Amino acid sequence: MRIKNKGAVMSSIAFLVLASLLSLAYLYSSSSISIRSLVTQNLIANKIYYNFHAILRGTIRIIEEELGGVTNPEIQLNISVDEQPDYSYVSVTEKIPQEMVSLQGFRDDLGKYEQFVETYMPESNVEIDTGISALGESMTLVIEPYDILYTHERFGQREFFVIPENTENSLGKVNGYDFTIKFLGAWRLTSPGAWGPFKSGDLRISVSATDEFGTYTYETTEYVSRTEASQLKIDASGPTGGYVRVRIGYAAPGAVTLEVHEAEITITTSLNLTDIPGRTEVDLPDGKINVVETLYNIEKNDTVRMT
Amino acid sequence: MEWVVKISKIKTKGFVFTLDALFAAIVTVTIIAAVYHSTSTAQRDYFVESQLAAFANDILVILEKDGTLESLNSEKIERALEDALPENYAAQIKIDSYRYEEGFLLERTIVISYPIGADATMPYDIVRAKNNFVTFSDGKIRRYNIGEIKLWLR
Repeated sequence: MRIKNKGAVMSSIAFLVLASLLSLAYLYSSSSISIRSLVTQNLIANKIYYNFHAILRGTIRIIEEELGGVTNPEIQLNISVDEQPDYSYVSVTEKIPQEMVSLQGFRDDLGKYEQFVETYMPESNVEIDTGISALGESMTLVIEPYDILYTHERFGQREFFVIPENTENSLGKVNGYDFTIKFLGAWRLTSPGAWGPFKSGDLRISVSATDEFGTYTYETTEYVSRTEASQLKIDASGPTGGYVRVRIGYAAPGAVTLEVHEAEITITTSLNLTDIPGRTEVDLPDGKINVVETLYNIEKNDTVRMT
Repeated sequence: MEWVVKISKIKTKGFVFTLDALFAAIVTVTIIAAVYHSTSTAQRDYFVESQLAAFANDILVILEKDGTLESLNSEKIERALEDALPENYAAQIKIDSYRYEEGFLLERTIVISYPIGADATMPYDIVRAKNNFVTFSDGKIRRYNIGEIKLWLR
């Protein structure tokens, strides 16, 4: 009886040991499978991220190369951001008006690039959809996180707008606008600018204007109202009479409308902004890039960011 | 008669012991096989694959950003691979270069392997990464390119 019990105990122990071993192996295997799934998802997420950024870099490269003014001086658009601890300084330089044939070439290149990436970048289970070609139409920029719009009716023509979209984080954080204007070609600056109407306030407007001859320079700094309309007109003489008109508060409270009549200029518009939490960036909201993996439904959908 | 019963008892006992041993052996072998199967399928190191994929993507981005890919120069790309790859890595880069004429036309394809002759068709665990880049001439896009890298451990 004793011997029989001993055998049963030994068998039970052996069986339990083996069963435990099997359970451990099963646990190891199943946890490994879940890790495998996580790693696979991570690999796909990385692939989506890198594909998105490859398209983003290509788009920014086209904008910088074709609008940067180095290889194509007829069309220019430069954007810079200087972020300091207490304030941010965002500058946009552009030529007004742009040379339309060159600009159309830029728009065509954006369209071809969009077609190229949508045709040749997708892989199995990866779909790509972009709206890059829409960028060249109004060339709308959004300064984030301030939600300030820098836009045109149609990019390359004679007018642009800077519109703080809300009162608190947009208009309330704009300390001032600096405009540096240079008249091009045969256009001469012969007289100082004139304000009218002028409503005083705490929004700083600084304007510096010159021409290629350098014979006359006009500079002014005034503090205007954020809520009431003010206007500055700078005349220039050339083949015909031309002028630059800076209007504050016409399109919206504190918004800038800049018009160029007849003349050709390059203009740098700088926004002095009180720092708020978040990185200061310039976003191109019309330039959507969407990369999606359909099996795991992993997606990266964002707009083109210049800085 | 008594001795017949004894022999019968002995035979039965042996048969039971044999069956018991056989059963034990079957159970043991089955469990060991199951354990071996479970652990062997779990043994593949997916983190190596993940790390290889990240490395492949990074190489492509670096070679794109420093203008190496844009040069479309096989020797330059091969030298860059030599500099970038650890000794136990092998890679193959393929660039398909297109121009646009009423549609995209494949103008040329460049394939660069490092080490020279490294064969990406061999049954290694290969990871792939892909990007695109454009080249310019006179302020206009001249070529549209797709770069693909295959990377594996030697």
